[in-house]
Amino acid sequence: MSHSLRILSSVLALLFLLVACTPAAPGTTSAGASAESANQGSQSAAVADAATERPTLTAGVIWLDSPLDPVEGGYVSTQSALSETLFRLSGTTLSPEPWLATEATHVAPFIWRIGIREGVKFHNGNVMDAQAVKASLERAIRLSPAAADTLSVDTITVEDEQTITIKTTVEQPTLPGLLILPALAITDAAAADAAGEGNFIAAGALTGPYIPIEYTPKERLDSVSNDDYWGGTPPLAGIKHIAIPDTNSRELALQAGDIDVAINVSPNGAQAINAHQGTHTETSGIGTSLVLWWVNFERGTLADPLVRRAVAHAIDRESIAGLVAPPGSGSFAELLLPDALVACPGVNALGYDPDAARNLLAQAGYADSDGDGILDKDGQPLEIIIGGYPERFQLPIMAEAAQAMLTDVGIKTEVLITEWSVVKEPAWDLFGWYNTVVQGGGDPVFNISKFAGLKGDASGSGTNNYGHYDASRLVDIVAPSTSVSDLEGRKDIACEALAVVTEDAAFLPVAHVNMVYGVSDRVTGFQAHPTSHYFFDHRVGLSE
Amino acid sequence: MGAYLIRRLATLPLLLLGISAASFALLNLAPGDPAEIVLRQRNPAQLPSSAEVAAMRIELGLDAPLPVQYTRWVSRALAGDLGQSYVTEQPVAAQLARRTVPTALLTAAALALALLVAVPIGILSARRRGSSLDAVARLAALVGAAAPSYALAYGLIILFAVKLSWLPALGYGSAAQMILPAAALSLAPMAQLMRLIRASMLETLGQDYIRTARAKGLSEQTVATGHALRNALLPVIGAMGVHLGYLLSGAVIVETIFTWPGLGQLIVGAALTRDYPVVQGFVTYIAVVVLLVNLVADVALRVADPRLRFGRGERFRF
Repeated sequence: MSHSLRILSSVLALLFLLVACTPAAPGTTSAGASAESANQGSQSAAVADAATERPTLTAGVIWLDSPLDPVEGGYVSTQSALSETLFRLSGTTLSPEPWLATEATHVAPFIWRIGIREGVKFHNGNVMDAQAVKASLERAIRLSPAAADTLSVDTITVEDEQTITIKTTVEQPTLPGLLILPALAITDAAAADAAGEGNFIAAGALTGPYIPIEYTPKERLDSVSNDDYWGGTPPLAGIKHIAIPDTNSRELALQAGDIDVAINVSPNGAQAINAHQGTHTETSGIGTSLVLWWVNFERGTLADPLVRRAVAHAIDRESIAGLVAPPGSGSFAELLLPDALVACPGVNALGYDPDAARNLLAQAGYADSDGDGILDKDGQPLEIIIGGYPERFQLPIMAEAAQAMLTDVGIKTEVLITEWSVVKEPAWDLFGWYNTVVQGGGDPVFNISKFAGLKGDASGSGTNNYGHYDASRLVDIVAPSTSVSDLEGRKDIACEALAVVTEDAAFLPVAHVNMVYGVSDRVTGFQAHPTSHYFFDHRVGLSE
Repeated sequence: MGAYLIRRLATLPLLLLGISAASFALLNLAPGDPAEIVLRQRNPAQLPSSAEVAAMRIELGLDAPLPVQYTRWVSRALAGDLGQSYVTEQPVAAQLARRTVPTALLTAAALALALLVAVPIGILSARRRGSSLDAVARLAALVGAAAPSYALAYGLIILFAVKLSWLPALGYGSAAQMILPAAALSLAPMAQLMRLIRASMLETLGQDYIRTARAKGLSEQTVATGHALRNALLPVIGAMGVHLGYLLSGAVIVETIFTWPGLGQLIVGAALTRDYPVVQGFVTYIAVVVLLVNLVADVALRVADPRLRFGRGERFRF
C-alpha cells in the first residue's frame, strides 16, 4: 500500500472514530437550545434527591409541539402528567369526574359551586386553594380566547378556602365537562405570569405527579417525580418523552427496548408488538376517534337526497371499517358518536345494499345511456370525488375501497388525497376525516352539535360543518339542552339529533378508532385511557 | 486560481437568489393555509373560525402579495434574520444552527464510512477485474445503489436493535446511537463511490504512463498504489460535492426514522406543518452549504490536478 493510501485510510478511520465518539448530550446542550429550560434550583434538586433509586420511564410520543403553559394550548402538560384540571374525563363512562375538584353543584341555572381538593400543592410548593383556582381560571380566560368562549364566565367568587362559585353569562348545564379542557389546567397564575414568556418551567406552576425539568419542542420532554403529589409519591424517578413521529420507528423502538411505552401504534404494529417477547399492546377498547366522510351538500351531486342515500347504500362501510380499524384497534361506526358516549338503539344507519342504491339512482333519473357502465343524466356522467389527507393512513384505504364499490353501482369515482385543509374548498363530494368525537367533557349534545354545525359548536360558529349541512331541523331538537344538566336527558336529546343526521346521511361514519398503546411488560400500573388527554398518571411504574 | 475563485464566488449570490425565489414560490403554491395550521397547533381541540384565520394571516404577514412577502424575507435574510417558526415561535436561524451539529456529525460519519469501504474495495475490484471478488463487489454496489435508504434503515433496526439487541434503535448522544443511522445513510454513496473508483482505476491502469511504469519492472502493487491511485482518486474529489447533497437529502429520511435531532428531522416536521419560514430557511441554508462544498471540491480538484489549473491559451512553465 502506498504512503498516500495509508495516510488517506488513517485519516478516514480517525475521522470516523472522532465523529462516532463525539460526546453530545441527548436533546439539547447548547445555551438557549431549549425553548423552556429547567429551573435548576432547589426545587429540582430536592425532587432529584428523592427520586433516586427509582427507575425512569421512557415514552415515545407522536407530537411534542405545544407549549407547556396550559393557556397556550398546552395539551402536552395534561397528557404527560404535569398538569391537572378540576375535572377529568372518566376512562370508562367518558363523563367528567372530579380531579382537583371534589364536587360540583349546579345551584342555579347560571351558577355552579365547585369544591376544591385539600392538600394540593403546586410544583413550587405554593398551596392550591380556592383563591389560587380562581386566579388560574381568570388567567386562562384572560389569555385563552377558546377558554373564555367555552366557559362564558361572568364572575368567579371565593366562598371559602376550598370552595368557589362560578357564575356564567349563559346557562352552562355541563360546566364540569367544560372544565376538563387542557387550557383550564390549574396553574399558579402569579408564578406563571412572573416567570415571563418562554420561562414557564421555572415557575413550577403546575400540580401533576411529574415536574417538567427540560423541554425541547418536537424533540423531548424530561420530567421528575413530584414527591409532594397529593395522590401519593409516584413510583418512577421521572418520565422522559421522546418525539418519534414515525409510527414504524416508534413501534420498533419499543421492541428494541429503547422506550417503554409507544403512544398510538398501528394495527400492523400492534400485531408485531404482541408477537414480540416482552411487549404487548393495551387499549381501553372504547373508540373515541371517528373516521368518517363528510358529505358535501353544496356541490350538486350529493345535494340530491336520493343520490346521497344511494351512496350510503353503495358503500360497505362495515367491511371498510374492518380494514381501517381491525379488531382490537377499533370498531365499525354505524353512528357518529360511540356507544360508550351515547347508545341509541332505535337509530339505524343506511346499510350496505347495492341493489337499493341502484334503485335510488334510477329514481333520481340516472341511467347508463351510453353503455359505458357509468350512469348519466342530461348527458352528464354521475361522478363524485372522494377527498382526504395522507397523514391518517385510514383515509386513502377508505377512499380506494369506496371507489371500487361506487363504480360497481355506476358512479364514476375519483380519489383525491391531498391536504386536510382542502376540506374547506368546494373540491370534493365526500371527504375523509379523522377526529375525536369526545370533546366538551364527553357531552353527547356538544359533540353532535359540533359536527352538525349548530351554534352549540365550541367556537359558537359551526365551523366544523364542512359539508354545509342544513342543520335547521336540529336547532329545535337541541334547543332544550341549554337547561338540561342530567346526563340521561342530554343523551335523549343527542339520540334524537343523531336520528335526524343519520336519516339525512349528513355524514358517513366508518370506524371508531381506539387509542392503542405499545407497552413493555416491565411497565406497571398503566391505565390505557380511551382519549389522548391523559397518557400517564401517578400510578404508572416500572418493574426491575 | 484567484480569478477562478472570484468568478465562482460571484455567481453564488445569483444562484442563492434563484434557489430561494423558486422555493418561496413553490412553498406558496402548496395547498394548506399556514395560518389555520398555526391555530390548530395552538388549540387542537377546536377548529379555528374564518375570522381567527384571517387575523392570523395578518399577524403572520401572509395577507401581503407574494412578491412583497419575498422581498421582506430577502431583506431580513441579508441581515441574518430568517424569521420565526410559525409553530415553535423560535428564530429559524437558531433552530438551523442547533440542528446543524447533529446533521454534520451524521453526514461526516456516513461519508467517512462510505470512503473507508468504497476506496479499498473499488481499488481491489479494479485490480482483480473479472474475479469473483470483483463480481461480488459489483453486485453489492448495484444492490447498495438501488436499495432505498428507508428500507435499509428499518432493516438495520430490526436486525441489530430488535433481533440482536446490539445497538439502540434510535436516539442521539452516544457513539452506539450513531452507528445504525450512519450505516443506513452511507450505503448508497458507498456503492456509487465504489463503482466510480473501480471505473476510474480501470481507466487509469490503461494509461501510457502506467504501461511505462510496468515496463520499468515495477511490481503491480507499486504501479497501482504508487502511480495509478492518485489519478484514480481525482474523480472522487469532484464527486464529493454531489455526494454531500445526496447525504443531506438522505438525512431527511434517516434522521426521521432514527429520531436523530438534525436538520432532516426539522425539515420533515416543518414541511408537514407548513412552517414556511423554517422550510424556506432550510432550503436556503442547505443551498449555501452545497454550493460552498462544491466550490471547495472544485478548488481541491484543481489543486490536486495541475491540468485543470490552465485554461485555453495557457501553458505550463518549466
